[in-house]
Amino acid sequence: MAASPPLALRLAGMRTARFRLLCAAALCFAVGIADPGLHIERTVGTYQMVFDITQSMNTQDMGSADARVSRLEFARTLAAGTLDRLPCGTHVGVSVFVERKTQPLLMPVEVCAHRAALQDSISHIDWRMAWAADSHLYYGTYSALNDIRTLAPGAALVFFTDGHQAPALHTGRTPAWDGTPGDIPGVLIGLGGSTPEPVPKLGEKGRIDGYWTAEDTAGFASAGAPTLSVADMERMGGDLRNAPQRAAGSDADHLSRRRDDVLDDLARLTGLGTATARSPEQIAALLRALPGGRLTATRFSLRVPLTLAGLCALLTSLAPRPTRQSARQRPRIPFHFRSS
Amino acid sequence: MWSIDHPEALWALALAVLPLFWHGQRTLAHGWLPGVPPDPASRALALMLRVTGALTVAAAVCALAGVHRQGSAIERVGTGAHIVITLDRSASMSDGFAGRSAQQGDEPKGRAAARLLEDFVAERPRDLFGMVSFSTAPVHGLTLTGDQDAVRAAVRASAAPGVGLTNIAAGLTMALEQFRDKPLTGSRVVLLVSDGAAQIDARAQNQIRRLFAENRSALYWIFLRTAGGRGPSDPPDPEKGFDPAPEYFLNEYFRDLGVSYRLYEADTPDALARAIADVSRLQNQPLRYFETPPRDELAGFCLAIALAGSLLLLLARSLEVSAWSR
Repeated sequence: MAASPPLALRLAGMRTARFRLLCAAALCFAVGIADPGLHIERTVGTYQMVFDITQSMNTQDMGSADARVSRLEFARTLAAGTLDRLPCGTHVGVSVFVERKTQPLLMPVEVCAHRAALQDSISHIDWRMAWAADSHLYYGTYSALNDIRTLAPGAALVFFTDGHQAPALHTGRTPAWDGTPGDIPGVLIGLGGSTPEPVPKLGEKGRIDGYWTAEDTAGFASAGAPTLSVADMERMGGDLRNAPQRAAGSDADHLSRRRDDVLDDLARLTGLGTATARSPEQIAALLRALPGGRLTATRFSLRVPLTLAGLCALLTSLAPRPTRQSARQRPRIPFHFRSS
Repeated sequence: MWSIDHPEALWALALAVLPLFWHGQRTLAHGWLPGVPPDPASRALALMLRVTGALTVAAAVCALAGVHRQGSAIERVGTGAHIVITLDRSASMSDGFAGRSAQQGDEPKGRAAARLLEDFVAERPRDLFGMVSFSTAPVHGLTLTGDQDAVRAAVRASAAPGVGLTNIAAGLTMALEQFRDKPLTGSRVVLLVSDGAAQIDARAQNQIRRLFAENRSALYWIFLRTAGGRGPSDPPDPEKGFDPAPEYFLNEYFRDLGVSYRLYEADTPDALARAIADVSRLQNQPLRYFETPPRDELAGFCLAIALAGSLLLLLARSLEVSAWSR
């Protein structure tokens, strides 16, 4: 072997790019062992997810054309997917809506630590939980907002619904809300297709036993029919007293579609937003855009970026030079061969 | 037991092959290689440096993948139970208690029950809790879980005003189904909290009897009496003509179930608190449960290997010659 080169030459070797890259790699690994982190403050929200479990939500008109799923099933999948796309620290609760009221099943819990419990609760939401069959959506929305006001102040509302109101409302008989619009932020997520579809009647085991017909729905009177005196009825002629007490335009009420008009009207009254359900990404983005929320500090570990940087530096320091360049750049070092 | 957080990152282990071909060393041209005598020591050193490079890359990739050691769950024996809270959420739960001093504006029964049950859950960190509520239909709350915060959130949710009727049979059936196919590692309890009763038809009676026997579960019934209402211990009064007294007959049916059964009648929130404390005391039987030890992060260890490897390579680089010396 050759004798040890003079110190000056060795120091020259240390000034090469390869040597510096290797130094950088070692430094990255050394700092990575200490696992430094950044504290990032971000806003996380609290959301109460309310699921409409009335029978129109069993209508199978969601998903791809060859694999139709019910609106409720679609909503469940959507909600579960949304959980994965919300930052840790976000709190989510679960409620169901039937008749005029919402029933909270779970008050908001943190999404990352309690992912399993939230999944358990959401996946068990079922139309069989219903205690009645009516769907007074206006009252339901007010009830959801009221739940938030009394039980979970600071939360925002996420209401998965098709907007189907049954029995239909008479014109001018829309229930009024006594709250301030926009007081509680939230969004109504519209489900269902744009063409009217039959609503299935499901049996105990969840099989389709039949479909709602116009005669079935005609059997349920709408609340708040206009009150007429006997004299008025006589003046108007016909057999008004025995005429069906149905709201105008509700003849095709046995068919169901996404009622954007109802959702928009509700949004106007309550200051909530509306959206048509598409993807978990869309829902998560909608939720994060809602006002409110709390600041939480999240620690972002720098270990992974440091390790990646170290790995890249190490591999680059080992990589051979591109051959074309090396032919041009290689210094011609004169040497004297000496046989030892 | 070894575990990995991001197994997909292990594909990058393929990169560890690169240093076997790429040595990254300074090369010097030589006029006539056959003239150089074989040098096994140099060859061994060259191979070692390449292997060091490969190991360094592999260690860094392992650190990226989040390699850690997860001890297996250790079985411990403590005291506690598997409790399914079966809560009545019918409309009447929004009414006040029956106690003598009851008046308007008192805490509704539903809210008092939710508050006291939440404390009950908080005091029993080792128990597994399930949650079922019922009104006209049974409602699944939570499957038996050790997630205390979630159970308390589910109990708190029941403080909302109730709806509908009291369908006790459906609630009990759903509660008992919670135990199905679960290992029997502790005493099982169905904690029924209701303010009324309903007649259970013969078929449901048989089914519930069978489920109790199959699942070997005890039953505690905390009855919250409504002002002016009847209780389970009031037998029907023949003087009053037809009197279904469903509470009385349900109590008789429960006593006849052949399982460990207790009835608590609570007229006031204090009586409810005493009943819950009594259940808490009774249910301290041996319970087998699993505790998962905290995991050992090995990423730091992997990075230390990577650091050692890169320092060795640095040492080799600093010893390189830049020219053949005389």
